[in-house]
Amino acid sequence: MTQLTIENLNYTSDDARLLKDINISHKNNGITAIIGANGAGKSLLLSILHGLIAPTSGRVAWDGASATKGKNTRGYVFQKPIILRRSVRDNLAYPLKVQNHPKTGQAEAIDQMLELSQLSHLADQPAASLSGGEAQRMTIARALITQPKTLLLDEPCSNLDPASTKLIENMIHSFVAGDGSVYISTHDMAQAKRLSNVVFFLEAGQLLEHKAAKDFFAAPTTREGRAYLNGDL
Amino acid sequence: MRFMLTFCLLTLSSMVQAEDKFITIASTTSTQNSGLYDYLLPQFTADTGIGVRVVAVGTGQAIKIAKNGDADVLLVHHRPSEDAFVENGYGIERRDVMYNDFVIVGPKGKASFESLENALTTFASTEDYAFVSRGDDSGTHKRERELWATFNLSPQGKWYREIGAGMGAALNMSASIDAYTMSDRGTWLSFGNKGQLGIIIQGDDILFNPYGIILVNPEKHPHVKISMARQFSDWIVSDKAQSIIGAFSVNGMQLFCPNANPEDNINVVCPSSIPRTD
Amino acid sequence: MSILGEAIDLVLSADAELGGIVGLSLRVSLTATLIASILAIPLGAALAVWNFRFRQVLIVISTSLMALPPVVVGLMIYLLLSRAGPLGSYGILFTPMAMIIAQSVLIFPIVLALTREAILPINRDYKNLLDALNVTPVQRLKTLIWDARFAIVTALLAGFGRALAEVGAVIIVGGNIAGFTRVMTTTIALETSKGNLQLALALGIILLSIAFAINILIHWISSFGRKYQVTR
Repeated sequence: MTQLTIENLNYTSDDARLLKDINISHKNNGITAIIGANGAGKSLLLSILHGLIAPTSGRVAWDGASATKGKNTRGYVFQKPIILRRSVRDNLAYPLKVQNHPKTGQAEAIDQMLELSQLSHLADQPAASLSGGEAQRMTIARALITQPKTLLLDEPCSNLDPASTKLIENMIHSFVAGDGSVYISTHDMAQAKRLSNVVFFLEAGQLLEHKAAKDFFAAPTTREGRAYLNGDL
Repeated sequence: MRFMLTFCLLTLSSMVQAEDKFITIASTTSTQNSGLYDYLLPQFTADTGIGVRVVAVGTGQAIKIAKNGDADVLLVHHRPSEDAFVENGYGIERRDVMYNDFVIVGPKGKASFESLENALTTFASTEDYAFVSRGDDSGTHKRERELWATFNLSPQGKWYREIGAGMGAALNMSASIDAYTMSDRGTWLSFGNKGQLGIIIQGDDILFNPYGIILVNPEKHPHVKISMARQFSDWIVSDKAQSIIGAFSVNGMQLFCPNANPEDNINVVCPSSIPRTD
Repeated sequence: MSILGEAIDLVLSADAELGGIVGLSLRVSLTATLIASILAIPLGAALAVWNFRFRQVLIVISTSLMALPPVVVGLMIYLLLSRAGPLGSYGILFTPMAMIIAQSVLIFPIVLALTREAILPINRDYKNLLDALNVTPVQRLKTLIWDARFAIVTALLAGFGRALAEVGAVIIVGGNIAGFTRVMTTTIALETSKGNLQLALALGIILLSIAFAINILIHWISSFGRKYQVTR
């Protein structure tokens, strides 16, 4: 189980304080939803959690190690799928190659991931030919293939139809079933409700609520939380 | 990647070794373009096993190449420059090799001139005839400038075109614009694109065109292959090579007259059109 | 058009000497392309990816080098390799090696600029993913070069074409020595100066055919590359 620690996290850009004094100590093997209105700072927080962006001040640590380290133990999925100009199979093989995984068993791992993402029939197509939903499934499979402990997903289902969203949620569930922990930012409240057991609720760069999902959705403690659930934010 | 590197190394090494017994001659385009070297040099290589690499440029540039030590032998045709080259310590052991002459070529039947002086004076005074000058500091160019000076003429104007190019380019241009130009006889005879051009003036003593061979001074450039160079120099003035030079012809016309040993009777009859100034 | 007819006859009846000239042309230009690309591809990729010191200076220098006439490049290499020059003691002036060096210098900025251009958009696409996967700098370059390979091969062919068609530099540093440093373009120059327009044109036809083949290849490779390109 991974321990996430965020201490006094601030992020300022061009005098705008995009994240303000965030403190979290969190251990979760399930799915944590980072929710909030557009511009609340969800994606930024997720980037900082993976060490892609350095905070202006404060500290982020996974099991005590700085977020800039141990990227290999986490998988990261971007809102807009980043597709390597290769076949689907070679896209999945890529992280194994650059992270120097042993050659043996790679082919089997890739086949397994192709099956999980239901892309086996497209394995040898150029990844560029995939539809939006297929491409996002591929990038999730690519993030999972190195068997990370943690999966970070930045609005993976925005712009996808319900069927594609369902397939992606199945992939997320199967990862959690294998003892992985997931952090997913989403502005889709229904999705957050369906998936998460813990919620980080952000508003205007501040962490307003951090609690069990069922508690948040039943009775948010802040005015902003209530407004968000009512669709007023 | 490994394949690429291997390929590179193989190609490079194959290029470096090639032949190691060779000399480099800085020479003029006139000798090269006539085809003389293709005819003459294989016989030297057959006799001695020494390869000859000819860098054919204008006399001015050939002398610069030799001054820099980038050649072992100099074979050019401008006596004052050759003498200066030796006097300044860059070269040693100058010898006469052969000669031919310069001719004035131009559009056939356009005009006739009674003499070289008459032709040049007419060109310069009427400005009705285009004249193409090499303008490239070559031996031919230097000699052409000297011709005008001899008759106290200073050519300038639209009719006098300095093109800064080789003999072939000057002939090609003359053929295409019906202009006059001065060429060495060898290049002229072997030139393949004569068009309407023909010889207009020839036979004047002043048009004598001798070629000399000079060894690059090993005291200036210790790396020059002096013994092989000397072997070449000795060979080219030998009776055998002199006969070959005399026998070389293009379209039945003899191009060069050997004159390394004028006192020897080497059985070469030079055409009467080529003047001798002994 | 009798000159053209004779020229085509000459091409068809190609003799050993002509074969040697064409062969040397290809050998020199291919080697120069390989040498230039070994240096220019990684550097071009690095220029596309990182904003290091002297980056702008390098870009400006390489762009300017592209505008240099081959004669000037030839002259620079000549002065360098001449016995009177700093590298004179190696004695490589008037050898195929000197021609390879001159052509490498000519090709280098082309391959550098085209590689950089090919990799810029791919780097823009990939940057976040490569950051997220924490790839090493070397892996980053290898990934980008590999996925830009179609465009880069096109760049190499463009460089090869320029080298093959170039006459100004190789005639100065090679000396156009018969059977040793005489290539297609210098032969064309020589035969034109001798008024042998048929032979010059025959070589021109061969050169044109090679250029044509290269361009077909470029076209074919780019169409292959487009398949993998994300258009979304």
